[in-house]
Amino acid sequence: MSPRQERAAIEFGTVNEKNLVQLQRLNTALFPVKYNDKFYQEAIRAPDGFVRLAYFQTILVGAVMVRFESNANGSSRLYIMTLGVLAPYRERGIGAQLLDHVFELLASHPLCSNVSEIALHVHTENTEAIAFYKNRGFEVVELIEKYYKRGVDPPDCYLLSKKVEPRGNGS
Amino acid sequence: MGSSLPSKEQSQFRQLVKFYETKQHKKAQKTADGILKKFPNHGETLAMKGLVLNSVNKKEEAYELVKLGLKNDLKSHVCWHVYGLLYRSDRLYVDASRAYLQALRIDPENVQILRDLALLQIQTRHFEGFISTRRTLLTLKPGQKNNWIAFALANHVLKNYAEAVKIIDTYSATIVPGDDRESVYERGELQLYKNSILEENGDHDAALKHLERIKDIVVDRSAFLEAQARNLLALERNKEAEEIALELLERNMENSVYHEQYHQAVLSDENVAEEHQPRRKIELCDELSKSNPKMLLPKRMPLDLLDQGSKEDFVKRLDSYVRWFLERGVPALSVDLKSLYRAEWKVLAIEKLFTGFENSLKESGALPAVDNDTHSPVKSGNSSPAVVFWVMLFLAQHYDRIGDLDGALKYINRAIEHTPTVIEAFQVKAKILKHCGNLTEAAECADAARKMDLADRYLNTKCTKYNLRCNKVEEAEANVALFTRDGETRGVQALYDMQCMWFECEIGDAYIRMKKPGLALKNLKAVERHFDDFIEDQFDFHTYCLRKETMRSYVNLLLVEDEIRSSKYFTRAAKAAIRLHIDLHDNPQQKDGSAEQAAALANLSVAERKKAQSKLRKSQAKKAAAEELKKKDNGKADGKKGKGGGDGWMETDPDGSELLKGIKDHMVEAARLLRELEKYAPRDVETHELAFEVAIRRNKYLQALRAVNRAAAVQPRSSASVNLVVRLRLDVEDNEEKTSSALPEVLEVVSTCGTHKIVGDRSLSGYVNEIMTDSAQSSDTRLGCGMALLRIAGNENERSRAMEVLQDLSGASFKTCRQLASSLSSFAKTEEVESFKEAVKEKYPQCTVPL
Repeated sequence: MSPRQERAAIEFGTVNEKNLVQLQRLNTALFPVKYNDKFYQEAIRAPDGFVRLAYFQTILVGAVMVRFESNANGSSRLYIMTLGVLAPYRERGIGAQLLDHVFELLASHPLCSNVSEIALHVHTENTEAIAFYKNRGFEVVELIEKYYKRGVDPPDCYLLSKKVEPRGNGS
Repeated sequence: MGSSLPSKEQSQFRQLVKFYETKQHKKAQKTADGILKKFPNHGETLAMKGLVLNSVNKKEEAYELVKLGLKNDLKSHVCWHVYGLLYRSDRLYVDASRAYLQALRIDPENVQILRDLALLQIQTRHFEGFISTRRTLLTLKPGQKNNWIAFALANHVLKNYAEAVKIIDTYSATIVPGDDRESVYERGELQLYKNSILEENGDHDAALKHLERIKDIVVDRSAFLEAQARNLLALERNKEAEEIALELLERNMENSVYHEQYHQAVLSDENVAEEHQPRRKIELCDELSKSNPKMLLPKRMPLDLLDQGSKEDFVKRLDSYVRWFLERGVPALSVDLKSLYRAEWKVLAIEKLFTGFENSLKESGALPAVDNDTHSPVKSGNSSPAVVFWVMLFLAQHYDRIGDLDGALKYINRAIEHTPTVIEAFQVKAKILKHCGNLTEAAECADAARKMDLADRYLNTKCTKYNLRCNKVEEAEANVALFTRDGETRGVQALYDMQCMWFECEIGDAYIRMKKPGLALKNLKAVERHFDDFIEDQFDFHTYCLRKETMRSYVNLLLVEDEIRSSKYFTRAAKAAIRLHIDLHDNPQQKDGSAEQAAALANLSVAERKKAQSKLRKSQAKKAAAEELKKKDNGKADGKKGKGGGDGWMETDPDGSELLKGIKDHMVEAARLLRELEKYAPRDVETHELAFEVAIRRNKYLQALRAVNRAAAVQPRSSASVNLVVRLRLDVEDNEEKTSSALPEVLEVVSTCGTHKIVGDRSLSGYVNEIMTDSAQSSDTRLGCGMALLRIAGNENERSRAMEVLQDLSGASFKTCRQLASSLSSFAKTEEVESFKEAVKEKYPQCTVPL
């Protein structure tokens, strides 16, 4: 990795039905997986803050989308569906700011009081991303073979996870 | 009023008038009927009832009643006044003012009628009448301020400047000045108006002294200073002018007029010789720039002023200027630099600079370093990744502008790949594709841009336009309707109500291409109607502005309205309509829309076709006359329904078939529109091109001659002029068969004042060749000359030489090619047209529209 640069100034934005296609274009450029319309309709209805767009000099260059999942045992986790920054705009701390936003959700969003884990899937070949998450306290939990249906080679991924202390209801 | 009635009915009549004035039409009608029960022949009541019915859109009845009323009481000024109002509501200004004058003959001091008459007179710019009406009103009611100001205006528009000023002074002396803000403002405005009259009269000295006197009451400080600057410059009091110009620049440094005034003042003061002026102006800009580093215009103006001798300086300045845009990501950079493209060497310098940027960014991730001079302190270190994107976007626009479409596409695709989320890039790509003739993909791309921000009306509008360009009318209407107010009004009617003329022009063009003449005409007519409305709209201001004393704006309004039909929308719609009428005249079978007829005609020889067409024309004329008669019979019934149903203009006769049927002679209609164009767009060579087309079809050879001479006067070396000269020679002067029925006197004039004056002793082809050699730079002229040579060509050899010229399409835009293809098909042989089209397809392989 090149030496860490100063964090670029970004502005956060929200997604709605008016600018949804911009998010689609961003994700199409970022990920080998093609998400369907249902996925994006959910993005519009997501709880406040669960989808965040990152604007660099008024250009949409990155986004994060997370989902709240409760497990059978009563615990719950935040699952990162997508987090990415356009290639030319990387190495400027924009991804880190998006991930920081996820940590902030954890610390203050009413839905997240019982969350004990942040998790995500990463393509096994995406070393850049794996290093990014490992740097920030994530661990590889599992190798899932044949996770992707088509268009991704190899079709395998890692499940990454970071345990967190649930902040509880009262605090 | 109502004086012949007994007192009870008299008061009823007064109520009737009141109800009418307060628009309580139902009550008014009831009251009128009440009076008429007892006095069925009372003229004034009949007339008033007519006026009321007119307000509820019962036109036919209204006219009948008013006329009947008049017949019963010819001596009543009320009846005549009502008659005038009726005409006025139908915009028949001449008839209306005649009726008013009749009313005034009976009651010469009727203020209401005088006022109405004055409105009409200023509306129709009948200034002589206006001033006399205004004088009468002032004499009758000297206590009203409007009457003073209006009388001053009347003198002003007749250029009786001294008188106008005197009236304003007399009036001002009588008013007690109020202290509240509004009356201070009004006083200042009136004084500024007076000052503009002094200036217009050329009495700059008096204007300046007057400004000095009024400086404390004028609220509009910019207008005040601007007037000072103009008058000082006119008197060559340059030092003072310089000071004022600087004060204006301090208020707004991005106003180029202020800069020009400043330059003029300094340059005249220093008596700078012509050849040193650009240099000095640049110095002045630099001085301003130094103390105002954030202002753009002082940095931008030198780029226009520098000549080729200062190439290095130009590049340096351009470099630091564009960095400001690139570092902030301002997409308007390309538009901002447009004026520089007039000079070839500047174009090359721009290209070199930006490709240099691109290479430097690729190699080192930063723009090249600049020497730390005064122009731009640049930070070191890497450039923002967005700069790469903006450089590529600019290069795409640059190559598009200079006609290198492959280069443009290469850069725009790379830009989109680099940053796929910037909407402007998709817009730029749509434009490039359009220039490639790939209208289908251009529309798709514009739609992609639209979808990226559904809340952006501009993107929606562009997308609609691109859809219309490839005849996707339904998509276009659906899209544009997303931004019109919803409710029961349909999209098209809503757009008509908003006077959305770009849409009507574009959809009109689309319908022309789709061979739907009714719909096309309907939309083009809509544009014409908007201009009638704009002119009618003045009426509101004649009273409003006089009351509010906003005279400067009012006078500007009158000037704008005088020229309003020179607006590009009016001329565009008129030109399209004329072309449509020509086409309908030449191919009358289109009117019925029967494809079989067209196909049958296509199989006939030229002579046979002409015969069949003229037969068809005649039968259509008969049909139209019959319909007209039928309509008249049904007149009364129609009148009752009429517009009363609340349908908008676009909703009645939505497909324009009635409109089309109503036109008995397309050439007469075309000639009517041409008169407007000749008046309002005389500098547009196309006006005269169309005038020629219409004249030649109407066998009006003197008009054809006039059109050619006018075109040659406007643009002697244009493709249009050359072709018109050639056609006048071939189709009129040398065509004895065609002109055999013309008067010998006419032919005499044509031959003495015709093409020989322009062509001289040269042969016709010699004349064309000479222009072609002279204008080697312009591909449009070169190709136009090729077309002219093909017209002249007498043998195969000459024809193929002309075709050679026509097949060299270097530098020709897709638009030019498309127009040429259409012009060629009107006279060239099929195989020649085809081979031209082949050449176009070779140059524009992506083209998706039939040529």
